[in-house]
Amino acid sequence: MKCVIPGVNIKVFGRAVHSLAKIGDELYIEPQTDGVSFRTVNSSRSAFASFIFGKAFFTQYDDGAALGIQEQQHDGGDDGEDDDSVKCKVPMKGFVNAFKSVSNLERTVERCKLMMDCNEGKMVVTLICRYGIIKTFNIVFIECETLQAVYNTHTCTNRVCTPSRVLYEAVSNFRCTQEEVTLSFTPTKAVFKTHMDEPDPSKAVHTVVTLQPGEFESYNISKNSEITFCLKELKALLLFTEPVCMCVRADFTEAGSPVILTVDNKPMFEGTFVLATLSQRTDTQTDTHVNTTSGDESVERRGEIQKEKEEEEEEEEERRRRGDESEERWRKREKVTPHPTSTPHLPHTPPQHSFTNKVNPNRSQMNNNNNTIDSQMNISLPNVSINNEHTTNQNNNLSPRQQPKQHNNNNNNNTQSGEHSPSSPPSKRARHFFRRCFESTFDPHCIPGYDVILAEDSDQESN
Amino acid sequence: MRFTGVMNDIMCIRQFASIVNAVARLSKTCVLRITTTHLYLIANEAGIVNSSPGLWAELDQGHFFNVFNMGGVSEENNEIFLEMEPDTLSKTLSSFTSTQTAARFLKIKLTKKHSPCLTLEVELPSLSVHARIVVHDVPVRPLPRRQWSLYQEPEMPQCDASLYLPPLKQLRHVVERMKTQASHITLAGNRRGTLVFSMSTDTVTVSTYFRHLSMPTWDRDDGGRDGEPEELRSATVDIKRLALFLTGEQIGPSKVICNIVEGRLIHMFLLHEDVTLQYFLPAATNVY
Repeated sequence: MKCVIPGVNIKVFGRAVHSLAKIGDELYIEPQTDGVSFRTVNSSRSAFASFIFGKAFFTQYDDGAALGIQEQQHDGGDDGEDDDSVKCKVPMKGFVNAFKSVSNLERTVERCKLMMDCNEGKMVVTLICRYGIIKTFNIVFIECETLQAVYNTHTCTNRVCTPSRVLYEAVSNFRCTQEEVTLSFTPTKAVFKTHMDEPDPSKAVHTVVTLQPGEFESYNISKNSEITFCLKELKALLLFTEPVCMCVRADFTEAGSPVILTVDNKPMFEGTFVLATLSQRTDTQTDTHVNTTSGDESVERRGEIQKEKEEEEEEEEERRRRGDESEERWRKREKVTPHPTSTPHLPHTPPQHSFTNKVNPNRSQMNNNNNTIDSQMNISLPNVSINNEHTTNQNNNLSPRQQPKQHNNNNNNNTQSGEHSPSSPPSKRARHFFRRCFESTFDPHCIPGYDVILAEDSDQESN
Repeated sequence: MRFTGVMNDIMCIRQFASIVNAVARLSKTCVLRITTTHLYLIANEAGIVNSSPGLWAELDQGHFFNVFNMGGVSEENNEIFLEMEPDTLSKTLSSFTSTQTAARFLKIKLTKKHSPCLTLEVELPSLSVHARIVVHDVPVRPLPRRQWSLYQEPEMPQCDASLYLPPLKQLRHVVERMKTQASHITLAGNRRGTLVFSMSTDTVTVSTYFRHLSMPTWDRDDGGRDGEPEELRSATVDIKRLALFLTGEQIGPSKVICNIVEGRLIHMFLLHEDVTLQYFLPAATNVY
């Protein structure tokens, strides 16, 4: 791929890169015939951001597809994006460094050339500045992968559209330490409020911002809904939109399914942010036994893996009782609805937390008990999937290395050390506190009482 | 107990915010005392039991509030004492006192939601005709009556020297420079209008002289002040705390009085039309 960004557009591009840098540590670049997409996903896989810059954005654009065509024919080209030949992943830090000061970029840079060198395995960013200064950044690919979030704005029942200014001003009322906000929409008003994760709510400031529907450009709320999501990612989007005051469109259905924020400036560029929302126990879960186990808890906390496990087991049992026939039914439905965002209206819908991935967690759980914790996160992530280039399509299970990341959410740091599956490496924190245990000279046998078992393993999965 | 106050003027809201901000810088927790005529922000010296307040800010209710309604515990004790973190209140206030989003009005209420709260209701301008209502609940802790005595107005000390300070901005520059060198500063004043800021280390001694400063006249009996009027009376205090106090200049005081009690105390007295702020800096012992 090779493209040239003119000086007038460099600021927009720079801001988009900064906005992406606020979310993820790795940048996925994928040229397509009509433009190039820049994508990222955060470490907990709870937020996905993508900017697609159209051909019109560049003065010169060559997607390098000529090279890829043969390969595409080879594969039969059933899924266009997955088989695109040129794609890469670069570290965000390096890329954002090239576009460091956004305000300076506009003044100094005349044009910017982005080039993908697949043979060398690097991305070359050339900034052609005034007075003949040329800055070249060589950013080495990490590994070839494609990132695609599975979401569908058409199935979302609610849609609001607002100038970003309104959102920005609403958000600025919250303290910068506030992590999550709850947005509740009714036909007569929209309310932003602080979401409290703290054990003692009387210690923190509660803020409620009320907006009238008149402040929105369009306001289509079919059902009263309340969604909770991280403020950080929304702020990242607003960082991009604020200086130009673009319109932000939000599509969402209900708590537990992702909210999709889009800014649209076709044919120049298009930005999409998919944010996970905190799942709320609602009536959509038809399995009655789930209600009995969850007790009086209305909102499940993200860290409660233990409880989740119990539920899973019961679910599993239930399914066993239903027998093979229903098993078959499950499988069929999965084929009909490739991504479960559209499933909630169906009877016997799997609980919302099951659609973390294209991979069906219910299936993988039966096959591989070790994976149950990872795939059964209660928070519903946007359906982000990573297809490693080297894995074939049949084997679309995630590689084990990637799985622990899934539930490694920003907000449940406190439970991090406890929730790793046996196969995953110990977390950083554990390494820090139990440093001695990880030293090569450490011998557990030299500790007195090493052979005394104080309590048997309480592994529930063993039964 | 009930309390409701409405501020309509953005200048008043900003002034109120800056006072809370100044208090927040000087103390982690403070007590908001509400009476029918005044609001007080009081902070005690941290770590000292039964001390008299180290910070005492007095706000005239009539100047700030257009509507003011309060009822205390009983007829004879018609006061409310609320303990809170001024920092929380200050950060909340600053969110709507910036130049961009100037609030149309601010309503402060004492409410009981999940816990006792000082509810700030703000109306912000919006792009459309609709008003944007924002509600902040700042948690507070009402103080029982037996603790009220801890937060009584401090007595004016018998001072050995009393002077009006030069503009705080100048002083701040002087003190900031000295702060990099030493941890303590000595303030010395006499009754001829001379004030000396000095610090010394093993290698250097720096003194800054301010002369011909005017002096307030106290209508009290000056029995304690004897000796030569030229004689300098001094007290040594923690330089960091003095610097913190001096950065609180945004209150825009019309006059600042510095009272020195030799070897014991420096008493700063900020005077503004409707606000007074007193700050007590205890002298450091065994500095050398």
